[in-house]
Amino acid sequence: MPSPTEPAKRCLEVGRTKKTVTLSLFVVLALATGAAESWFPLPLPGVRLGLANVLPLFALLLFGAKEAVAVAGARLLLSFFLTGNPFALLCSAAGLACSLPLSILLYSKFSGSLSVPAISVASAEAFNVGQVAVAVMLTSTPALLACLPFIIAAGAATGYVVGRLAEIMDKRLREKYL
Amino acid sequence: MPVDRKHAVRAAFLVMFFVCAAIAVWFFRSSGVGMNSGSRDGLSMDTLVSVLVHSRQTPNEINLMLDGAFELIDGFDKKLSMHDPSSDVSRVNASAGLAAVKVAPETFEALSSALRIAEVSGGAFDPSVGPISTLWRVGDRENPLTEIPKADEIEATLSLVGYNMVSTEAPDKIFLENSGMKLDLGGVAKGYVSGEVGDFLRANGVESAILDLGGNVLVVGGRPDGEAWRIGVQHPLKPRGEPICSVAIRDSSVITAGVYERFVEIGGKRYAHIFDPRAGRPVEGNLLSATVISDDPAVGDALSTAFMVMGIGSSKELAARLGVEAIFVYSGEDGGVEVTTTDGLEGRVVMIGNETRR
Amino acid sequence: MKLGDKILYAGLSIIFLISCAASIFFLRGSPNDGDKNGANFTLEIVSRGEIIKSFDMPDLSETESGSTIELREGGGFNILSIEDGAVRMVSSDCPGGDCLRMPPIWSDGRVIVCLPHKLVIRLRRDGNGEVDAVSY
Repeated sequence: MPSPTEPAKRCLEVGRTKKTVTLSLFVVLALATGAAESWFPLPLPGVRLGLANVLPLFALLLFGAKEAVAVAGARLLLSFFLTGNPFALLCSAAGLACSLPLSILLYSKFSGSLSVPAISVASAEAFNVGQVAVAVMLTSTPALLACLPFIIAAGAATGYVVGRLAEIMDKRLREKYL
Repeated sequence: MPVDRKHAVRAAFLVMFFVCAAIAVWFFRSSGVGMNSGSRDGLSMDTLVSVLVHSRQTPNEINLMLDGAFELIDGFDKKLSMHDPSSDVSRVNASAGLAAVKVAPETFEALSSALRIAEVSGGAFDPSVGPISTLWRVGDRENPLTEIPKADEIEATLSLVGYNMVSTEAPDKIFLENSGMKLDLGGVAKGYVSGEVGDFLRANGVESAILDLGGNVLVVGGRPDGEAWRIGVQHPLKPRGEPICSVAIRDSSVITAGVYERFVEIGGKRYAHIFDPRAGRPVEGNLLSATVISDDPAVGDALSTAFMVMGIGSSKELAARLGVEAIFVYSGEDGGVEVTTTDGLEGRVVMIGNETRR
Repeated sequence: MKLGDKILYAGLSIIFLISCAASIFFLRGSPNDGDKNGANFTLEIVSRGEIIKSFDMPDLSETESGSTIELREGGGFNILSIEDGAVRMVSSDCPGGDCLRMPPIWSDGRVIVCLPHKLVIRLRRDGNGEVDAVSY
């Protein structure tokens, strides 16, 4: 959770119902974005652009760590139920395991020196590393690691975009609510 | 507090940097950089010998070691060869029916392995097959056979063949009980020697090597990049060097006996130089080659020959009992070439091209 | 840009460069790589980490274009098509169908992966059908 001495990073104070509805909306939006971005061809299977990560990040900025985890977790499970692809599930789960804790940690401890886009970049990279590691282990093909530079570059790009987007959305919403 | 944060961030990046550095180092190591290698080709035991060694020794040390390996091979050739009159085998043959002969321990070991396989294969492999080889003029380039030996010639020869007539007295005496008997260790010599060379290399600290002794392949460890060695099995109908399938092995040997290697053609028919010691005749049938994968190359060598005589069914049973694996290549009903293996090779044999495996 | 940002991006750039170097190294294969003369590739089909089939590409390219390889591995069914020296996955019953969307491969080191079926299809530049020695 954000530390008390951090300025202007208050969790949004809303009633439980409103929060639940909002978070569900986020999950749905994440699923939709995820479905839309799966059309984009990537050299690795089960590896996605990660644009849908704007939603958990947004939840983190707006509400806090617990909510971000909830959105990310719900999205993971639901997208597995929808697509039935256990390998994408494994890759994404591994990715989340690497990136969620990282983004929560960076946001709560380092938001003085790290901008939101930068945090997003770091967590996107962590996510991709997790995904690639699992893909490599499942196919026993270390040669897949040759895609790393591409993945790293793509991660930086989408991470930045996602972070910036989340930041803007966060500012706008606070202006509206506060 | 700002200082703490900066330190933590820096620490995180240092960690990441080292992780990447570690990965980079692992890439380097697994690609084999930093190891030296040496290879040498030569002629010995009447065939091509090729040795490739990867090791952390200096190139000079590797060279000396290769010298040693080839000396070892030549030394064994002198003892085991049938053609050199001063070899152990020739001396034993010369004293057949007369007296026991004292031989080098290595000769004794090679013969012992051969006798063991003779026993478990019920005589399908037999080191006392010398008289049959002579009858069919195997290895006689000046006087090749022009006519199939007659039945009574074969009968007479068979009375001189039988591993139970070979007496041994540990640690180094061999006695052939009947005059006219002849030892022919050709079916086990190359395997035995390759095993000795492998031990020699290991004793010198080599962790990765591949030795090709006239088609008998032995490997030490795996490839320097960490993967297993991939050894092909000769396609019986294609030129030498073209494999029909391959198998990945470590610290093991792959030895093949095939009807396509040495044979004599009489009256338009091919007679392979692989004999059934109990019948005195070359093997017949649709089995084109038998390959044995085993830790003991002497056993592998002898068994590959035995399997050619025994046929696929009995061979698979024997292989299972002895704990070796085998690959059989045979001509199928439709004229094509097919491959079958022992169960332990399930999933380990790679077919090359479109040949089928059953 | 905040200070932490600069550090992050700097560190990331370093990692990126290292991964480029490692990747180039990897794609180049072992130090004993053979001749560089054009189209002598080997198509390898790897199931669960073990190579199960291996084809010489020239043999395959010479057959009428549209030659196919059917694979029943990893609990599924895949069809590879080889056309004009390029290999692609044309049919697969795996969930997600990622492998169908991977670009066709025609050069050394490129792969097509069907993760649900644990299949990796790859091309290797190599003269000899990939064996270190032949036992005869």
